[in-house]
Amino acid sequence: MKNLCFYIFILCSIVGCYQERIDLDLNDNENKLVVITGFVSTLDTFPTINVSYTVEYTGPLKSDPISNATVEMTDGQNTYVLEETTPGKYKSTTSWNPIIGAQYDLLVRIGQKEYTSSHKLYSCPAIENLQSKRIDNWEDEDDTTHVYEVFFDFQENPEKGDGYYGVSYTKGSPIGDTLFVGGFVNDDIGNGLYFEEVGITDYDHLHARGDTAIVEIYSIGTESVDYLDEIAAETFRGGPFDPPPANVSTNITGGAVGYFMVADARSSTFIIR
Amino acid sequence: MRNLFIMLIFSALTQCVYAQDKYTISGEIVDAASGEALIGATIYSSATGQGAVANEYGYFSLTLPAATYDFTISFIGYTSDERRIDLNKDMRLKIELSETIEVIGEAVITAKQQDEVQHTQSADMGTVNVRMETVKKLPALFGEIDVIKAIQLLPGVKTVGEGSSGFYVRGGKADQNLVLLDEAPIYNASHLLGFFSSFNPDAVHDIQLYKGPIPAKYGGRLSSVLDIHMKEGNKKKFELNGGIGTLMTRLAVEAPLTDKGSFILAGRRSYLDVLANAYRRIAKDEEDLGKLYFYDLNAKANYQLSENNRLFVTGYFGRDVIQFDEEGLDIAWGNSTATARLNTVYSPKLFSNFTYYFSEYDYYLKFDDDIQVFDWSANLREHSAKMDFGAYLNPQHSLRFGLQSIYHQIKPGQIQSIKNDEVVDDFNIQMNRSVENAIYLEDEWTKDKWKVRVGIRGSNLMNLGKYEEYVLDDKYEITDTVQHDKGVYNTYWNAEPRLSARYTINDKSSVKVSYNRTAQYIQLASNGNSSTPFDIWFTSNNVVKPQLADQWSAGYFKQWNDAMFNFSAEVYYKKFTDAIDFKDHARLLLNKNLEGELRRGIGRSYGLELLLKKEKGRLTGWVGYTISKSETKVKEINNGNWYNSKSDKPHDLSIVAAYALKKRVSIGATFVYSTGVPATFPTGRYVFRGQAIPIYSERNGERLPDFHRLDLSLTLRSRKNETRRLQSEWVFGIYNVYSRKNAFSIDFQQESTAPYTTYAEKSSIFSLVPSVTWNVKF
Repeated sequence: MKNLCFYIFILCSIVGCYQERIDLDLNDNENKLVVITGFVSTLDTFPTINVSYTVEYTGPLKSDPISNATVEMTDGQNTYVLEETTPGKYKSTTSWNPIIGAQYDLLVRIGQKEYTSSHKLYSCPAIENLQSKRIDNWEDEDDTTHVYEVFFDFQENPEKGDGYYGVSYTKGSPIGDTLFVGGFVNDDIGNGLYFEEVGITDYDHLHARGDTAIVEIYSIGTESVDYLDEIAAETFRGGPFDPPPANVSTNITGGAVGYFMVADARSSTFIIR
Repeated sequence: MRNLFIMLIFSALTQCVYAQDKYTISGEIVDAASGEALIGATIYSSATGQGAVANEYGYFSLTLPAATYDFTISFIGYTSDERRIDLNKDMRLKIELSETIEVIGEAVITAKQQDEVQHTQSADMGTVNVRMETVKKLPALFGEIDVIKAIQLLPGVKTVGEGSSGFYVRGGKADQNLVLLDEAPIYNASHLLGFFSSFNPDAVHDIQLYKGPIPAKYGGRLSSVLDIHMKEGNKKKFELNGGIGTLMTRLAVEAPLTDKGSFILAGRRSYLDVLANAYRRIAKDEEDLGKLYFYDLNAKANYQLSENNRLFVTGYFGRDVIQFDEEGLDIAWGNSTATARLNTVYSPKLFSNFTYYFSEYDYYLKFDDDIQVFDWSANLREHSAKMDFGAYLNPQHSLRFGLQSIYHQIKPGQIQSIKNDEVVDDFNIQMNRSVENAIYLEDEWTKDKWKVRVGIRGSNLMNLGKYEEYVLDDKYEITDTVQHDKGVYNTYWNAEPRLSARYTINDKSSVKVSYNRTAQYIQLASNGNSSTPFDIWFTSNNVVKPQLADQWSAGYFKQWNDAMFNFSAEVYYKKFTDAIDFKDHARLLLNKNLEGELRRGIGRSYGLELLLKKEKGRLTGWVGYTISKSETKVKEINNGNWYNSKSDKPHDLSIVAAYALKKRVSIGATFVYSTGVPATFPTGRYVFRGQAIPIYSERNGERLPDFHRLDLSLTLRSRKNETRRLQSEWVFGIYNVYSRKNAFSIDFQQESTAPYTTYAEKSSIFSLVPSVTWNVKF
């Protein structure tokens, strides 16, 4: 690949290809959309939903929260009322009693306008045989200590339609809430199989000896895996096979964007030795 | 059966001749220096106002009452030949025209009648013949003459990436152009990821582009036909052409084969890798830089088997290679074609061409890290036989008819993972096979001020088993599979009418109208903003219906000042039915359920094309301008609203000029301006679990900045005299003279210190690019 880069350099030297930062005002401030996001897992005691407007794409990231919305989540038996704790952030006033297999419906009312969503709570298998391995011949010369990744075994649910999001991070690190530090997969291949030595550690965030590694697995269903897949496609653009840019899908009705998912989750810790 | 059919036509034609006491003058019009057929040359009798045009095989036929005629035989760039012929019997002639050498001084007298016949008097619309002499006068990227870059300068023909040799015609996609090299289709007509086309200018004789009413003999693509004829080879003497340029070297050898035929062999190779390795050696770096190059080889021979039969054999082989041994990377792709043609003259009024061709496009990628080998290959193969007839009943009436059968075989992709010489993983997308058949009839007649050409092409596609078909639900998910055994499991039929008519206003101007329907059964799975060598073709089947296009056009044609100036204004409207596009976030690469990624819809394009050409004198060239719109509508894309096609550039201007400063010095210039290509940009964002997610307004709803560029060239030719066989020329070129930083793409980046702060970044690939080329002819 180094040589290919050399040829590209030679070619660019001949033809003069270059990049230039430009001002491009594409921000559509007149047609802001309502954004509703919720990643509610059984690791949470009090479900939280965020309600806001879309913000400008270029420039610093701003926030434009929506206050005074009515937010409710129900599983058919229990209804959870979520109240605004900070602007745009709505938290359940009662603790969550998850029901595996239940359909969770979300209702957000802003003024007279209603937005709804629905997501099934899939069961999550246990994390088994958590272990770590040192990566041999790791080429990052600047860091010779963070060279461990963690593995686990995993019994995939026999029913079709499962999808999983998993993340491995060091305890105390803020990256646990970062989407693409983890990975995701559905059960199209290997439905119902027992998987051994599944590794999900991001190579940019390897563990060091003595770290407490946290592994979290969320059972989010196939549709939510598709959603994460589309986000990944939009985030990591630039390849020759990339499709044209397109909006990621949403499961919020009423013209809002964003996504609501509920997930049964498992979390395990492991000290790297 | 076939012989009986020919005999019947022959008999009818013969009776027709003698019953009316008319005689036929037929034969070939050829270049006096090389003996090459001059396609489109004319023979014309001004007294009767009747003439004939040499067809794409160089053959002409003209039947007139017995009398003495003064004929003018002419062709652009050649000195006209005036000759008196006493037509008292059928005659077979071989007429030689000499190229007009001097272009300085008086306006060159050439081809008035030819221009009149072709530009204002033929029924052709949206048809452009580009001669290599014209192409060679234009400035070129890196000094490398490129036939496809030349046609991109014509109105109605667009490109979406700077330097790209892909082209888009009247709102069509890149895969909707049928690119033929001596009858065989070239499926990926570019080298070096699109910067150069596959066609060696030293091997090309003539280019014909049909973007309007496409003659009934052509089919299988919706938007255009680019018919490229290779040189036949010099029939009179040994000739060598070559050139050494900034990025490649080329050489062509042609010579007679006894007195009955000739051949040409031509090759090119780029040497970016040679230059890079030389640089490394100078820098005393021992590291092997591997290989990155392309090459192509053209070969053609023709032989006169008998007075009425001539055989042509053509071969093409082109390859791009990227090979880095240290990284274990090996990538290659390319086209190969082989064509055999037999031209037969059954009678002075009946001509036929039988063609067999084979065409293949293939690619492979191999990664070898000494532990595991990853091997990926794909190919498309096509065999075809076709028979074309031309019957010249009388000067006012001619018929063309024929049939064709094509066998497509596509291997979309096979990946093998090999460890310790054992295949540990084998992913194979099943091969698909199909047969495409066509039969056509086209009738052209002239009456008073009208010339009308009516054609019909019947085409069909038959999908062949064995094949496992996926059954999809309304969400395009696979719900079941159906196993098809050997034989035909699915068939489509289409009737494709073609009509064009000309009404002569006076001897200088005419108006024309046309309608044509085209059907396309094989298309490219390409979804990105630019095509890659790894895109694969796929055929229509039970799930993917054939695409159809209906085009209506009308135009005004005028020429004046002894045909020094030609002007045309054409409007067109094109409707696409069952147009395909790919859903949002489609995955095409190695996808077994490619059909599940497709969505069907409609398309439309319309526009006005203006072209003013000056073809004589010291200053030659053209100004072309197009105002157009091209859109697609698919229920599942862009909320079901119309969206701009990838090639939608409403304004497109080309100014092309060549000026002969002195006998041996000429300059060339091209200026192009166009609206920026459509792009999809984010207009907002939100955050989900720490990840900023873009919001787009609509597909292709924004545009890159407007594009414009000026190129110049200076050509210095060696002195020419009778005793000196070696002729050479130096061509100095500057591409993008004022170093305009045209946007190739606009991407969005995050500030390194503030990951959530986003800014736009424009990428340009060509600044000012100087070039020097030395061309030689012996």
